Amino acid sequence: MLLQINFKSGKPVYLQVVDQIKAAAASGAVQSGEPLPSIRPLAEELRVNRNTIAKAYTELENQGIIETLPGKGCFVKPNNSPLKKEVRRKLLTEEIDHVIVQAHHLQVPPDEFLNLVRERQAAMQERQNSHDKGL
Amino acid sequence: MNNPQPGMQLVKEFRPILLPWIGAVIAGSLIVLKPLVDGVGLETLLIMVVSYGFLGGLALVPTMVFGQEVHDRTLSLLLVQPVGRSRIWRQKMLVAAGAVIAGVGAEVALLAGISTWYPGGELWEAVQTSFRGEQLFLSGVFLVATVCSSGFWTLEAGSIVGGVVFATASQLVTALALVPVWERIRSYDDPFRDPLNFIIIGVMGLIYSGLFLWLGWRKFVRLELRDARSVASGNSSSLARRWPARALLGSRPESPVLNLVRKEIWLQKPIAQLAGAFVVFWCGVVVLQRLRPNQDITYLFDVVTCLFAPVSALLAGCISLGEERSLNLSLSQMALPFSAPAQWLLKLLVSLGTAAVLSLGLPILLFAITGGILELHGSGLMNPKDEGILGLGLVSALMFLLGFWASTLSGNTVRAAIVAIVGVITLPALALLGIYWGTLFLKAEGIGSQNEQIKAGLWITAAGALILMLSQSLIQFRRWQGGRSQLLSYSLLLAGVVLFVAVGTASLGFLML
Amino acid sequence: MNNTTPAIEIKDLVYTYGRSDAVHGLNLTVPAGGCYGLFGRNGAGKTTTMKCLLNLLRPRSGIVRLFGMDPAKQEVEVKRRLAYVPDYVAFYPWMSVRETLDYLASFRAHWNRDTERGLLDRFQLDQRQQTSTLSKGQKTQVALVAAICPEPDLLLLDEPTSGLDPIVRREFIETVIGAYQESDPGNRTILVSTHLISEFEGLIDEFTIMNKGREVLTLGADQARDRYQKIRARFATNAPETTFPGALRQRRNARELEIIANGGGPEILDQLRRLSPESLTTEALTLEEVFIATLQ
Repeated sequence: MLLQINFKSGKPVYLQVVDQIKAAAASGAVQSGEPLPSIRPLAEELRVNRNTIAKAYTELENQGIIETLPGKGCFVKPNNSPLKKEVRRKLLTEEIDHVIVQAHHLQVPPDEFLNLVRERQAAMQERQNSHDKGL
Repeated sequence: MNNPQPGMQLVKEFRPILLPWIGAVIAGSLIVLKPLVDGVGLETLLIMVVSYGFLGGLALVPTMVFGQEVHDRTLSLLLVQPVGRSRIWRQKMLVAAGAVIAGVGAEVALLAGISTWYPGGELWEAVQTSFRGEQLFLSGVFLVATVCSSGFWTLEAGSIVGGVVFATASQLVTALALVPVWERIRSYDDPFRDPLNFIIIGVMGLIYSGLFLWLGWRKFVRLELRDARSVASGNSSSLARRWPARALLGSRPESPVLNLVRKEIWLQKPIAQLAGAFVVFWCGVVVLQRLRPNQDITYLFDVVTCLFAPVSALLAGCISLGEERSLNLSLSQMALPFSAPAQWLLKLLVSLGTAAVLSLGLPILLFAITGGILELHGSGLMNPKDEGILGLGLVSALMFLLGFWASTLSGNTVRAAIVAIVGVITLPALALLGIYWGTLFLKAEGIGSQNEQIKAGLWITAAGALILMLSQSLIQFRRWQGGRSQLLSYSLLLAGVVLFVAVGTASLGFLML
Repeated sequence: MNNTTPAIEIKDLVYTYGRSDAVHGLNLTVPAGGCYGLFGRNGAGKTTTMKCLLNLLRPRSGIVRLFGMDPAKQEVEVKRRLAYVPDYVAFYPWMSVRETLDYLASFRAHWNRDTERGLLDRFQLDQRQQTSTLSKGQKTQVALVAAICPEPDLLLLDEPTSGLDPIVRREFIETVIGAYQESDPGNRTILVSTHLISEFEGLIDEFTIMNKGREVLTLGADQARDRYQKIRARFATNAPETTFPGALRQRRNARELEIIANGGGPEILDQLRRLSPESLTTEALTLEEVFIATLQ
C-alpha cells in the first residue's frame, strides 16, 4: 500500500492518510487481516510527524476501519463494519456532494456525470476481481 | 546510564596544550648547549632561544586553554552542554596552572638529570652565568600573572596570538605605570639590591593576577557568542581595525602587480599596528627617562625590542598566507591569471620588506633618534661588542623564515606561528647538536675543532636549510592544499637535512682548513 | 510530568546588537509534545532567538522560559533537558567520532547506547575517523546522534539541513521523526528554525513566521493549509478587474486570474462563480508558499 501526501490539497495530513487507507481497504489493495505499516516507519516514509500518523490511526480505529491487536499491530477490519449503515451513508454523501460541486465547476453535465460514475464503478470492480485472483 | 564524568573532560583540556608545553620544556633544556657555543659568539642567541622558548611556550599554555576553543569555534559546543560556566572556568584554570607548574618542575628535573652525566658542575654554572637571580624571579612573576590573566585576554582579543600579545603587553604597561608611583615612595639606584623591592613586585604581581583572574571569570560567565564563528566578531585577526590610508592602498584597475603588492601590504596591517604600539611604548619610556634623569631605565628599550622584533618578524612571515587562508581568500587568489610562483615571490618580498623595515629597521631608527635625545651610553643592545643586535637580527630572521615556511604548509596564522616557534627552537638545536657530534668525531680522529670551523659549519647548514625551506614553501604554495601529514613529512625532511648537513660539515671541516 | 507547561515561552523578547539579526519584541509559545517551526528570512532574528534560549546571548529585555525555567538563572537545569544541533557544527578537530560522542556523553546522566549504535550504523559513520576529516553532512549527522542519544525533552535545530545533499537531508528528517519521537512522543518537543520550509512541511504541527525581529504569523500547519488558498479562474473573455475583499494578492493576465486568499476562500469562490468563468480551480498553499505570500 503506497500512500502519498499532497500538501496542496488543503486537507489536513492526517485526514489524507485516513482517506487513502480507507480507499485502499475499499479497493482491495489492503485486505482484511493484512497488517498496516506501523506508525514509525510510515511517518518516516511520508516524512510527516509521528503524531500525525498516530492521529490518523486513532481516527481509523474510531471509524471502525482498522483494529489494533496488542503486540501484533494494526489490521484492516473485515468488511462488515460495526458502523451503522446510516453513518456510512452519511460519510459517502459528503464525498458525493463535493464531487458534484466539482463537476459543476468543470462543466460536466449531470447525465455525463452519471455515466462517468458507472464507468468508474465498473473499473473498480474489475480491479477488485484481478486482485482477488492473486495478481 | 552514564554519570557525568569530569575526568574525561579534564583529559580533553590537556590535548591542545601538549605541543607548546613540550616545546617549552625542550627549549629550556637547550641551555645544556651553552658550553658549546661559548666563545663562538652565539651565547646571546642561545640565551634568547632558551628564554623565549621556555617562557613563551609556557605563556602559550594557558592561552591555548581558551584560545583553542575560540580558534576551533568549539566554544558554542562547550557552552550548550549542561555544565555550569564557573565549573568550566575552574577546570580550565586548573589545567593551565597545573601544566605551567608541571612545566617548571619538568624543566628542573630534566636539567638535574642531565647534569648528572654532564662534565663537572658546568651545567649549573652555565645556568647561573646566563640568568641572574632577579631575572628568574621576574620570570616567575610573569608566569603566574600570565596564567591568571590569559583567560581574560584571550577572550578579549578573540585569538591566541592576540591573547599572548595583550597579556604580555598589559603586564609591561602595568609595570611601566607603577614604576614612577613606587619611586615617589622610595628612590634607589639598583632596583634589585633591595630585597623589599622583590616583595613589592611579588605582591603587585599577586594583586594583578588576582584582579585579572576575577575579571576573566566574570567575562567568561557573562560571555555572549554573537557570531558562531568567532568570539570577537569580524576579522579573525584581533588587531584589524579601520585602515585610514585606504585611498592610497585601494586597488585600481591598472597593473595587476601593483594591485597585488597593495593587497600584500594591506594583509600586513596587524604588524603595522603592533609596530604602532611599540612606538607608543618607546615614547613612553623616553618621557619617563626624561622625568627621571638620575636613574637609568634604558634597559627597557632592550627588553621591549627583544620582545617586539622576533614577534613581529614571525607575524610578518605567517600573516601573508595565514590570513588569506583563514579568510578563505586563497582559493579565489589562486584562480587569478597570475602565475603562482610569481605570487609566492611577491608575498615573500613584501613580507620580508615589512619584517626588515618594521621589526629591525624601526628599532634601529628609534635607537638612533633616542641616542640624540637621551645620550645613551652605548650599553645593551646597541653595544657592537656584545653582538646583541646581530643575535636579535638572526632570531628575527629565523622567526620570519619559519613563519613563512610554516604558513604555506598549514591552514592558518596561529598554527603556522606555533609551528614556527617550535621550529625556531628545534632547528638551531639540531644544528648545534649536529655540530657537536661532528666535533666529537673530529676529536676521535685526533683533530681539534676550531671556532672558525664551527661557525662555517653553522652558516652552511643555515644556507642549506634556507634553500630547502624556500623550495618546499614554493612547491607547497603551488599545490595549495596543505595537510597535517604534509607538514609532518616536510618538517621531518627539514630537520633531517639540518642535522645531516651540520654533522657533515663539522666532521668534514678538517678538509676545508 | 506537567503537560500544560509549555516547552518554550517567550514574551516581548528584545535583543539588539548592531543592525542585523536583532529581535524587537518577539512573542512565542511552543507547547510540549509537538514539532514547531520558526520561519524567517536571513537576518529575521531566528538564530538570535535560539541563542537566547541557550543562554549564549542575554536578552536586553523580555521573558524567556524553558519548561518554566529561566535559562540564564538555571542554566544547567535547563540544558539537561534539551539538546542542540547548530547550523555550523564544530567539534574538537583532534577527536575521533567515538571520542567526541564519549566526550559529549560525559555531560549527560542518560545516554541511550542502543540508539547510538543504530544511528551510527544507519549513517554509516566510521567511529575511528577524526572529526576534522568529516564532511559537513557527516558532522551534522554526528551532531544529530549526539543530540538524540541523551533523549532530551526538547530538541533545538538551527538550520539543520542547510548545505546538505538531498539524501542526507532526507535521512536527517527521517531520523528526527523516527529515532527522536519513538519513545515518549507526547513529551518530546522539537523547535526547528529554518528557511528550507518544504523539507519540514510534513513534520511541522505549528509554526511562527518571523520578520525583522517580530512574529508576523503564528498558525497551525493544518489551519494554514485550510486558510490559504490559491484560486485560479479562466474566463472566456478578458478577466474582470474587480478587487476581491479577503484576497492577499491577485494577479491578472488577459483571460486568467490568480488570487491568493487568506481565509476568505469560499466567499471569493462564490464571487467568481457569479462571473461565470470557464474554469475554476482551487488548491491550498504549501507552508513555503504561505511564507512567501505573507512576507512579500
